[in-house]
Amino acid sequence: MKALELKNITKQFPRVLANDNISFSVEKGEIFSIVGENGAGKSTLMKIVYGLYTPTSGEIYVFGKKVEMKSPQDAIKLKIGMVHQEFMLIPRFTVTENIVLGDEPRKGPIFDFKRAVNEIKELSEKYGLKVDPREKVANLPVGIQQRVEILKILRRGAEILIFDEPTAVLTPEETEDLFKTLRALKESGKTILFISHKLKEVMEISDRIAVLRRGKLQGIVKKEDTNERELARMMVGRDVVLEIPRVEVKRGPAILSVRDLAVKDHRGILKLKGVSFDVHAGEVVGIAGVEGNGQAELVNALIGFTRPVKGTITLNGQEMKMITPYNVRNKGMAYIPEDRKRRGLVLPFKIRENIIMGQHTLYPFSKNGILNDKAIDDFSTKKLDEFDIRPRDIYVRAGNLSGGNQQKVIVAREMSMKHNFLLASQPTRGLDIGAMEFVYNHIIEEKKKGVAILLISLELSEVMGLSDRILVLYEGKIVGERTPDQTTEEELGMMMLGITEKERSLQ
Amino acid sequence: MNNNMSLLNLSIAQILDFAAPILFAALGGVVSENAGVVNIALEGIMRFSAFFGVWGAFVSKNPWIGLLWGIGVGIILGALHGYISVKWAGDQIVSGVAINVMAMGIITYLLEFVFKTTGYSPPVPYFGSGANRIHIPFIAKIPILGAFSNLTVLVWFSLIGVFLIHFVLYHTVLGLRIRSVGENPHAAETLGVNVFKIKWLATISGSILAALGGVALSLGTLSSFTNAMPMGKGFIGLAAMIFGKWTPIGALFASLIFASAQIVQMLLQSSASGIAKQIPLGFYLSLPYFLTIGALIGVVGRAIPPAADGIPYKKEG
Amino acid sequence: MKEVFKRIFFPKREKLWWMNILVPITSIILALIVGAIFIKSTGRSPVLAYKLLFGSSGLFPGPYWKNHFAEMLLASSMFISTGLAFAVAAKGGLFSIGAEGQFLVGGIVAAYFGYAKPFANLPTAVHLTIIFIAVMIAGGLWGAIAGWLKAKRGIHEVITTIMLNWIAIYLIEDWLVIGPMKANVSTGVSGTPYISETAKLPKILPGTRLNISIIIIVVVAYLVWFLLYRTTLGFEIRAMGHTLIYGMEAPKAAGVPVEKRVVQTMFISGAIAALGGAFIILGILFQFPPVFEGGYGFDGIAVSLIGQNEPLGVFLAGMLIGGLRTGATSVQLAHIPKTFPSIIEGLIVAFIALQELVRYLLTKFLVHKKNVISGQNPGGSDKNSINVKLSDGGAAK
Repeated sequence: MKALELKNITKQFPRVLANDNISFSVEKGEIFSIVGENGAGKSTLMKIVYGLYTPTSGEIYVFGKKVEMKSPQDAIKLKIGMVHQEFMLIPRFTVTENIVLGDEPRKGPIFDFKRAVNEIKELSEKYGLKVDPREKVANLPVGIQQRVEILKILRRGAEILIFDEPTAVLTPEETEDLFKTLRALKESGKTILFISHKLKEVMEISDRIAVLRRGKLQGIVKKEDTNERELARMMVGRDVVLEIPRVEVKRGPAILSVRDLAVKDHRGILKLKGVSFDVHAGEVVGIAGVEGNGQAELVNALIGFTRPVKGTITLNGQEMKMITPYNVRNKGMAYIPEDRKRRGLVLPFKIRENIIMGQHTLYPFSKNGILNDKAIDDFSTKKLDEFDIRPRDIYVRAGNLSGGNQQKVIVAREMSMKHNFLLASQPTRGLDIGAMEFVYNHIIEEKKKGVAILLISLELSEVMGLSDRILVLYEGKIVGERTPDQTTEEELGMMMLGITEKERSLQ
Repeated sequence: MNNNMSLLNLSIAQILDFAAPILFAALGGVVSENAGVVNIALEGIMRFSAFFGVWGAFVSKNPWIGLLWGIGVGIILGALHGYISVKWAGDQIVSGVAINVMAMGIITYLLEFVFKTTGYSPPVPYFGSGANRIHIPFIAKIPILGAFSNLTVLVWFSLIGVFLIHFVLYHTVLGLRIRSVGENPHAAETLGVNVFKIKWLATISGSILAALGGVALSLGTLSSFTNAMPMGKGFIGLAAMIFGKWTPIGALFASLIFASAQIVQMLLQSSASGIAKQIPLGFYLSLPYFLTIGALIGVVGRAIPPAADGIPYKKEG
Repeated sequence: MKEVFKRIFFPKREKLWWMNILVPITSIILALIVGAIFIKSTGRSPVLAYKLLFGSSGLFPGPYWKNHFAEMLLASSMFISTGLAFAVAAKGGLFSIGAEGQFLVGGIVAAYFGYAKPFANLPTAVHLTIIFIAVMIAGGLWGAIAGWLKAKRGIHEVITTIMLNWIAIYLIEDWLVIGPMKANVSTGVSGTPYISETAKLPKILPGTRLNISIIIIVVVAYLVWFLLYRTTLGFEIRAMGHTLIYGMEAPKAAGVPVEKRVVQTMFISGAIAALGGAFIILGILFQFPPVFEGGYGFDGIAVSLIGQNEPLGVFLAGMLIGGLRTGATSVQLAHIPKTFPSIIEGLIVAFIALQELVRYLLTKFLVHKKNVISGQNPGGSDKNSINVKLSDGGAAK
């Protein structure tokens, strides 16, 4: 019997077609995985199934009945439950309180805590999910917190359980526990949707697997009929080939040296677990990897937003302790941030103000702390021409520019500062082909000038095209180093997804 | 021997009297902020209700009517703040400041308009009069307990309020939901909790409590409105809320401590010993604020407000 | 036609700059209308009331104008100082309620350096210079405390500035003024001793009390504008203010030492507010009295909000409020209490607060219409340009 069926589901956002005519069905008692790269549309699809979004067109059938969901409450009523990637928990509350909130056992207006605790004990027993009902969620390890989330939806009678990247925050042991739980749930007749990009795990746990790419359904396969390599190929493919010219530059001395660097994320979880590498003058080192494997933490440590837990960073021969953006820039670092709206630009500021930010204290833009408008205007106008920024008006507010032009402003700004190390973090995110080409050309120019470049990107083709050396980051560690001619996108793709060499050769 | 006991009880009673307005304000803040709505207009609301309470008592010759007037104006101001902060997810601080600014001007004007004076309103029937107090004569001679033998209704309300609010917040379903909204409104929403309704409820309840504080100020042991009211009591209430870690019982203790500071000072000034007399009044009066800043600095781990406090809530997608 | 509409409502340059002028003016008009209704309902004549109010405010020429004008400028200089204090902090993304306390700190320091024997007989220029330097350092430090607590401990400045206000009030009025700084009983003076002649602000309009405070504050207002828009420090402060919702990441990533700037901004804010306190002591009261009628700090917030947190706006709004206060006494001739102008002020602020809402709604409405007209969102194309299909505005329902 079909637990869930999607027919021609399409979701259109103003600029993006997130889901394009997706149809599939899931059998009751099945573990059905959905895989795809970032931006493939998995999240959006699940939000539709969960009632958070309404599809632009298409139909949803739950246990054979056509349904329309206007809110998560509707989904809950239909026995659909979702375990979000970022838990919806209240750290200060106990496990019990978190689980029963909104549907509390009561004696009139009074909250019957004792009864709730017993309910949780029973529930926990029934599904084999051990939790301490009286413990505060804040004190629990992430794996147990996830169990609380699962119990939450089970208590509301969920028959279809959606898991959104559940293993992103788990240790290997916790992942094993989760899988035990999933199998047990399957035994008791629950249907499970498992969203992930970790192919190894998907292959371990699923019955069938659907692959999404750029909003479209690439195909559905049974686990027995496929392997990680196949899945990777389906996920990763490319449609537009951007020719990036290969430029040979003689490599100079090491400008940046990172040793044993370990960094936590904003939640306190160790995401970068000890990496070491060098970047030499005139060389582009590309860090390839799926988002969430430690790239953000690496960037934050290099730019000085987060203090590393251990390890050293040496720039131009000087070990940098207590890094701040100010002193790394002084030491010769330029930075193209991954989030231009948040970290790259002050949106209400005009182009001319954004383009000198960072060097505004230097001559000729200011002298003795007083800004020199004419110098700023001249510089800005020159850069607008040089970088072909539109509209050609230095008084336009950065927030009114297109993404590509915003990035150009940032590139113009960073390139014009004195530097011999460039940290480019997802420099072409959200850009069209033309803008991407522009950025690539400038990176190559930089390389020719002898700048050491660390490129962090989620786009394999970009990494392959630009880098002299490629380091693959997986789960916070460097799992492999290649040069572009030594490898293929497929191999890199698999390394990025955690498939080791041995496993690769077996397939 | 008898004298000392009376003095002790008298002092305690005075502390309770003094603490009541602060406590009400603090409780108002506790209720509101546990649902995530910051309300720095407590001071302004107290000013409004202190005045309207007196006005009502003046017009009706009955302090209870004054109390109702005070509560009424508290509801209106709470609704205004709620409208801006909850419905429109506006800046809660700006809204609070606006109410405070208006309170200054409007009440000064009304004082003159209604009572034709710029200083004190004429005396009105109040809760502190012998007839209106709650008499419990048989405990009068007992130390400490005796302090409770002759308190005003309002002081009793404030004390009962502490336990009532504590009970609601920590033992009822409603309280659980209120606190969830203040911690993680999005999580609460996904579980079917009506976040907006709860925030509205908390805002208005908080304002009513603050209004009670204003009435306690002008109709409690005093019997008229002074243009200086509430003399910062609203802000001390805010400080007591923070110092008491956003709990009702904590607010009670903080309010008592803050109130004691001034009573102790008055006692010491009138006593014979010289050293205590030397400590300037200003030190005592500013003590609550020093303590609060100290609490915020030193105990960062412990003095944490509800996680989503002050963050305007916007529904997703 | 579409082009004209687009050009007026969606200029790429100043985003709806005319809103900045429209909002305060409509608020003032609305407040006056409500005030008129108020007056009418009490049976008096609004026309007469406003004629008296504005006639004697010093803002418009009329009988006895010289004196009113002088009083208006005197009052305004204090409102402008606290207004500028709030504005500077606001530009940096900080909500400082501390002008009240900083004002008092400025006043007491001015009083002290004004009466203290060692300085008593210095030439006025020197004496005043010393006083003002001391005043600004003291006020600046008082503000910097809150800044430091925010930068280092993340404690919201609204709370700390309010706490510091009360600490200042009580330590000054209930300790210093009645204790260490108390005038000698034998002189019969209550409060602090009177400042020496050389500490008094020189008068500039004979026959009135008007002194150089207004000139000083005009210069300060200009300096604030210069600071904000012509210096690198001001540039960084504004960058911080604009990116407050993003955690100030962009300026931080560009190398701006955000923590340091927060403290510095609060220092500047406090120093300016303290000037106001110095003005009232050195120009009007000539001592720190035992009973001090405050409120200038909180009024400064209103002034700044009305002035849209811009130096020029604050200056004009300060004059308006100063004028209202000056005209207040005359309003009584129409049998309206002299506190009426402060109600008008409160109403203006209320309307400004609500206007924020209106402005917000208006902007949202206009942005939505823009999407409809031009068929796309500002802010750029997406790399999936191959797959892009333009829709008619807004996320699909």
